[in-house]
Amino acid sequence: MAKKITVYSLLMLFALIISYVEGIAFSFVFFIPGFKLGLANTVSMYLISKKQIRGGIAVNFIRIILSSLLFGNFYSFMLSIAGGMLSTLIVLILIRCKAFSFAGISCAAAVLHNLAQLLCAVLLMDTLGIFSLLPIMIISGSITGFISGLLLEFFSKKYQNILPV
Amino acid sequence: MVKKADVILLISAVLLGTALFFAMLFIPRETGDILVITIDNQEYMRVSLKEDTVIELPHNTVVIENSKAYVSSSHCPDKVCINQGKIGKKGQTIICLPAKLSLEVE
Repeated sequence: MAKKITVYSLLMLFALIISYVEGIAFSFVFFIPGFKLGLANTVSMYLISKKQIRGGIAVNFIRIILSSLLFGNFYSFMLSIAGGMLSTLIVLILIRCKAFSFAGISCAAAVLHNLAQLLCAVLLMDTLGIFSLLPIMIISGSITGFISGLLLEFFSKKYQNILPV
Repeated sequence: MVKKADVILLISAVLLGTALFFAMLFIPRETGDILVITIDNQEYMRVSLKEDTVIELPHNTVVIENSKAYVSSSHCPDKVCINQGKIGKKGQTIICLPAKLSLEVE
């Protein structure tokens, strides 16, 4: 139990830092706030794929809460948690059905993550105009999700022997 | 290993997005006359788009120019509202989440 808690904490911290660094790096290149690969979610996707389902979910939600407390505000928290819930759900379903590898699962999860964020923003702002972002969100989500899934595929194979889980 | 299903999923998502993008381009929109400014879910003011003005709001500055409105400056850290550009057609919106501001053309 103690070992599990330590491993999950370290992985959660890793996810937290990677999402922060990635956010900064991308904001220098693309000038679109919030546009990034979503590498943090690969951590929990990996845990879920290793049958550490409760751990994967916990790592993701604690990361979202911490990152909103540290770097965000109430609105970013609502958007992240909405995206996190739907994308975690789809990861749980798609990992069970075994038809996809990490790239496909991550692609679907990212699209649904963006969709949930958009819906949440519509509810928070009470304007339907934000839906005009939907096509961009679907395209960018599927590509960034696919890339982060590929990276997870590659690195989880390459560092299989030193990964704690 | 990347499976065939992954690639099919990626391609179909990108195609769906592209199709939606073009579908939205073809929805006809009329030019609007009134800009409705909403702050914190309450209507703050309505202004005509026909006259050029500069409106100072608590956290943002809105400029109306040539029947189009845009946010010229904002106190928020991310400046999304400024980057959303100019709006002038019915139903178009600019949102600034940190300032709880929404601009909509009617």
